[in-house]
Amino acid sequence: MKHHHLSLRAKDAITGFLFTLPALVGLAAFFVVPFGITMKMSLTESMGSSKFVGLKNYRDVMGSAAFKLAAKNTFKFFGVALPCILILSLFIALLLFRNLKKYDIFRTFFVFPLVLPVSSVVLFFQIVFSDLGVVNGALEGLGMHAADWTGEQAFWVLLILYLWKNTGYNVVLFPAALNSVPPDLYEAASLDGAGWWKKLTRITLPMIAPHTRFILVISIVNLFKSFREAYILFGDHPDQSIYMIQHFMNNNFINLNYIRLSVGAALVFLVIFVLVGLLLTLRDKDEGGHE
Amino acid sequence: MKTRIFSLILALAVLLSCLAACESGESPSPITGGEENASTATDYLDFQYPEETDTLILYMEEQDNEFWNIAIGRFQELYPDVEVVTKRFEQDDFLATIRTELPAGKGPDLLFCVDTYLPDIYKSMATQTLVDLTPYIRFDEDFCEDDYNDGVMRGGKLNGRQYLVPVFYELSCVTTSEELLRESGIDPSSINTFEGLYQACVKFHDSNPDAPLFQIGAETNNLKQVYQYSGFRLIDYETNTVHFDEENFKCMVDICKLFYVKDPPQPYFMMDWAAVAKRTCMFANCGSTIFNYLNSYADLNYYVGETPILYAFPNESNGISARISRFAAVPIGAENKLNGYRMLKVLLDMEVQTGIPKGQTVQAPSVMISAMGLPVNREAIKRSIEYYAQEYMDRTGGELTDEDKNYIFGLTESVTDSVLIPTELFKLYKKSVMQYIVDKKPFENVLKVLKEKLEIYKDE
Repeated sequence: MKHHHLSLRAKDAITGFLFTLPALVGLAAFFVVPFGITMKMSLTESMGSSKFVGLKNYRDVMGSAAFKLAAKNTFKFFGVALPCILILSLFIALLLFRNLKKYDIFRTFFVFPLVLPVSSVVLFFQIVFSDLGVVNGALEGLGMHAADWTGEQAFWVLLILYLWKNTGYNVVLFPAALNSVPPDLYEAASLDGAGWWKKLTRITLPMIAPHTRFILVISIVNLFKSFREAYILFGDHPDQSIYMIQHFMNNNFINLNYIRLSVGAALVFLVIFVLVGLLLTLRDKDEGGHE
Repeated sequence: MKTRIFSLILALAVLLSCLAACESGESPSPITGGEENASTATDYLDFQYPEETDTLILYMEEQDNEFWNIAIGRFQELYPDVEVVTKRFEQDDFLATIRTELPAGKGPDLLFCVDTYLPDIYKSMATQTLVDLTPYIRFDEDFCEDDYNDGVMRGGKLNGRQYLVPVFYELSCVTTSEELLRESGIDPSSINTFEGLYQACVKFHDSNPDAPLFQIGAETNNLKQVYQYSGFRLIDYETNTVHFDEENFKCMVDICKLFYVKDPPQPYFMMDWAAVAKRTCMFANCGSTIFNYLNSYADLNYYVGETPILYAFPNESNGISARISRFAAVPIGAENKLNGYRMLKVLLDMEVQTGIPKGQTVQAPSVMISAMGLPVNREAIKRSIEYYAQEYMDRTGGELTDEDKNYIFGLTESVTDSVLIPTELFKLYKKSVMQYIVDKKPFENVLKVLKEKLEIYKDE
């Protein structure tokens, strides 16, 4: 009588699988299955129908003025906010990195906006940027006209809110990257007569590039989260300058139009996936080059 | 390497989608469906009624028990072989259930609910959530459209298709008197247009600077009431365009601006005839039932000796819009569509719409059912008028002639259109016009911003 014994490797694999099974079930139930349903919905005629219509829904959504405006504003906000936050947080990190004692004191200060409840942050901004708020008061004191911060200038309010809330997080992350740069390189550069600009561009930035990519991904995630504040501050139909993809999706959810919501979600997923995929490809390239 | 290939494939997929989108012509409308319009509505030559089934599934709110008991009783008289399965919900649960099940293609065989339960009913019509009832009605020999208020019934159509049937409605009706108007130099016949109404409001406000426009509504600065009474759709759902009469729209907003008060008073409750008699407001709110209309009309004459006017606000076309308060529709996912349609017809029955059994002439219409609004069934309106007129005369000793009763009936017949006003549109309207009402922005700017937001809203 033959006995079939599993190899040790197979046993290990099964054991590992069983341990991860609860997490996999949760992942499937809360991510994979809903994702599949969403993708299916985006390709069918209507919610109650299983009739496949190909890319018709995508054509409808991408051809609509609302989506085009939302996409344009989202990309514009990304294009402005991401460079701003990276430059600003790196600048502050570099300043503080020179004096590590002061950095410990300021770290709490920078992380503080992150832990504040969203409603408190919004209330604060409403007070500051309301028609009779602090900012307009200052402008009028300087002899200038008050601005419509919930209308034409809403884009800048949202940008300031995003930077204020999230810069601190990056400021906390960058020192870990700066620490990884060997000080010998700076000494050698100094000996060769390199100034601060050359040290920054030829040593610091290339050396912290992998960390910067990670911080970029985190910043992109936080950018999407800024819809929360935008929604509370400006409502579900804000000024045209800040009507973004999330508004489009949220409003279709409210109107029970789940097909268009699914298409919007699928397109957002696609874009993020490509972006992150490209970043990972660059990372792989760097690691391959270093090897 | 694998990541690189995967990203490339996805990038290609995105590119394909973009190219597919670029190939399309005009942006298809999420409201009209983009492919058909009213002038090319099908003749339904191939229509066949769905198969007979032996079940009818109904969802109902606890507060509508009395109405449903009468309706189900009547249905079972007509169709004894059909089993009626009911699910009862509290209001919040009912709301959550229909908002979840309808978009998923499920739900009851007949949807009967308040107009505000679905966020934008016109968008729901366009996303094929509701069955097109046009052929059901057209080929039904038992369905006589003359039995129902045609102005009100019109409100359930989109692109010539009847997606829902109004069951109860409300008129934008308020009470005033000829004497009140004339004291302020207003010709009562001049207020049937928006421009005329605005001029009358100016004259009244000049004569009575402290008196609000409405008896109840001043606490919210009349915005919601004037907007609802005026029946502005703001979006022409037939053509999917932002379209409304801007002059009349400005009149409507200027009326609110005229009576705007920074710290509005709390509402005070008194009989509407007393409010008019004391000149505490321009228009008193008289409720929206036949009982209210009759009493308001008669009381002003009986107690005060003034000539009553039951005034219905003009709409943007200077007609009169009713607001659909309850409607019935067959969801696309209904398993027993034919029975759902049959129950819909039962809801329009005179007996069900009044709670007065057939053959009974001396019985009060049900108060609970009356609270739902005015019945769309013309016979139901007439029976209610007859009963309440007699009740009034018996109670007060006053007199109501046939002319008075015809006046009330004529008011309901004067409806030229009915609307279902999406809550979201009112929010957009309010947020925009308040900037003008409180003098923060000129009207042109406010109108421009509102139109931009409406353009986005209709394209979502």
